[in-house]
Formats: sequence, C-alpha cells, structure tokens
Amino acid sequence: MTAPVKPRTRPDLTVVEIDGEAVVYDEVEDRLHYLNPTATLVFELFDGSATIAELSREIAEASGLPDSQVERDVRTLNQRFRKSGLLATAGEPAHA
Amino acid sequence: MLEGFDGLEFVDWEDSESPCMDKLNRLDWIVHRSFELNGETFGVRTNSREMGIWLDRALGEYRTDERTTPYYSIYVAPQTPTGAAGIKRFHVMYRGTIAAVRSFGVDALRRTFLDELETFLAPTRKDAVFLHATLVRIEGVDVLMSRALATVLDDGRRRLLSAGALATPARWVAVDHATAMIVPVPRRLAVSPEILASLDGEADDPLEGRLRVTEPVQPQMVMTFVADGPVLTPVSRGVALLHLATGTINFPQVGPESLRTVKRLVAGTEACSQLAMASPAEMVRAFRQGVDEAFGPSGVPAGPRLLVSADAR
Repeated sequence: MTAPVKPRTRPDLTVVEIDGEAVVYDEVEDRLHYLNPTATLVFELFDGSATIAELSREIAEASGLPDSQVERDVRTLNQRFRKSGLLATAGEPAHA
Repeated sequence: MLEGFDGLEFVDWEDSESPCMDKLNRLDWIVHRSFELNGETFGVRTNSREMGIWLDRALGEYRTDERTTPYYSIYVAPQTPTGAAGIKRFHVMYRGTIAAVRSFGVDALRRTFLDELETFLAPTRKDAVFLHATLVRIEGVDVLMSRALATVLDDGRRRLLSAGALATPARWVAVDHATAMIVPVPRRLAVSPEILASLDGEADDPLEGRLRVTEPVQPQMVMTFVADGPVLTPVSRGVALLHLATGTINFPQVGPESLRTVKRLVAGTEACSQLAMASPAEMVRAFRQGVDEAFGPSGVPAGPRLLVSADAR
C-alpha cells in the first residue's frame, strides 16, 4: 500500500500573482501558464505538507462549500497541474 | 541590378508575392540597399536619391552586399507647391506592404525608421523589457495594445486615427526595469550623433496620426486580442499579463525578472479588455466602446465600473 500523495509544486517555477490570479513561468519548457483565482489558491497550497483530502477539507471549512465538491475540484486541478508539468515528481528535492 | 549614379544602385526587383506588393512594386524605386542587424538581413528601397544617400550615411556600418528582397520601402513624395492649387503629400514608410508611417516631414520619417530598426537589436538587449505592443492614446487615455491587436486594427489604413486615436508606429515598446513604465526606446544603433541630432528638431504633426513616446508613460488600460469570442470582453489583469508576457521580445535575455516587470506595469492599469476577430469596423467600434465603458467618453474614470472582475473566463 502506498502513502497518499502530498502534491508539491516545482520549486524552480516563477510565479507572479496579480489580483488573486497567477502567471507561472516554466523555464524548462519555456512556457507561461495562467491560473484563475481558484487554481492559484490550490497551487499555493500544494507545498508537499498535506494530502489532497486534507487540503480539500481545509478549503471546504474555510469556504463553506461541500467537502465532496471541493475535493473533486482539487483533484481535477491536481491532474491539470501534473499534466502541465507544474508539480514536482516524487523524490525531487523541495528546494532547487 | 543596374549601377546608378554616385554608386547608388537602381532597383530591378520584380518579386510580386501579392497584389499589394505588385502595386507597391510599380512605384519608381531607384535605390536598393541591404543591411544586416543582429544577424537579420533585410532590404530597403526608396524612390529618392537623397534618401539613399542618407541611408548610406546613417546605416553604413550595417550595410551588406547580400541581395535581399525589400522589406522596407521608403517613398518620398515629390515636392509640390502647397496652397490652394497644391497638394501636400505624405512621405510613407512601408513595412512589407503596410504603410507603417506617414509623415509630412522627411526627418520625422527618418527618425521613425531608425526607431523601427532598433527592433532588430531588442532580442539581445537587457536594458529594458521589450514587448510586442503598441501604445495608443485616445481621449487622454493611454492604452497598451498587444501587437496582434494593433496589427489587425491598424493595418496601414489608419483605422485608429479615424476613431480619434493616435498610435506609436512601431509594434514594440520598452518597459523600464526600475519604474515599470513605458519609456522612449534607448537608442543602440551605431548612428552618428550628428545624424540623430539633425532628426530631433522636427515635431510630429497630429494629422499624421503618430504618437511618440518622449517621457515615461503608465498606460491606464491594456487591450489584447483573441481569435474567437465576443468582440469586446473585459478581462482580468492576470489575463492581460499573460497576453503581454507572451510577447516579451527579450525574455531569454532578461529571464523571469521580465515577467515581474510586466506585472508591475499591468498592476498600474485600471482596466483590461480583449477584442476578438470581427470586421475592422466592428473592432474599431468595440475598441472605442471598451475605452468609453472604462473611462467614460471624456476619458474620465467612470467610477465603480472601472473595477475589473476577477472572473476572467
């Protein structure tokens, strides 16, 4: 049995925030990504300290939204971030 | 190519890639020159012997004998008496087939041509952040327009001018690292100071529809372009930042710091919109509407409506 994943964003990304949104620059891929306010919030919380379920509970408590809805959205974002190459892979150091 | 007087060559180009180029090719070009700037080679042609001599003096350091297709065409209008019977004609600098600059003054044309050529050096410079964008001033409101939008809106047919707007002729701007404001592009071309000084005396004529950045400018609005969707959509500053940042000419040189500089520039704006492809007339109307909705018809901020929704999608 494997331990639940604690998502963590890549430490080498450049993140610039404006009005609760973010533009992320991935120097390796030479790509820019835009994150809307929800994605920006989740992206910030992906620091490797909590599982998706734990983060979802925290967000649900703070926002008053149903746990199940929040967890679904966070998992979707997790997949998108991973597909876009914005998350650190297992074993990668926390700081570049 | 035929040898001309005073060492200038006559032009015998017959490349015709489009009807527009065909039409342009029919003008009486008598001088052709090739230049190499930062590894890019391009051709310049003109119908004026004096302009040809000036090109050699101003840009001799960059001249190359390589044969090139003309990219810039500098048309100097014949001198005609002004007054009731005379017609004052524009001199024109074409970028490809687009009339990029019209001017009643030859020196103003030369100056804007040199400004244009500075673009070739921008990718390897670090002294500012260079963006593919155009500054447009309408009713006292400074709008930073992405290059794609400026190209669609103002492809040489003076649509912006007809809407009451003045635009910088170049399709790029310099953003100062320290202040994050748009500043005059610091010149780096190896052109003699005497030649540069001789060009700075002539003022722009508002009729020419040209805006010149002579001091730092904080744009109040950003307008960008998307292919599809409603013709006018307010967007967040985050979306505007993404669009502008993708047009950073010297991103490889400046690196991620350029993103932070552009962010500060965008953070200083009060409204951002995007225009989608539509007929030119519709897009010009949407441009005016976007500015009016944000700032009021007089350019005065329109109160709470100025606040841009964070929901960009």
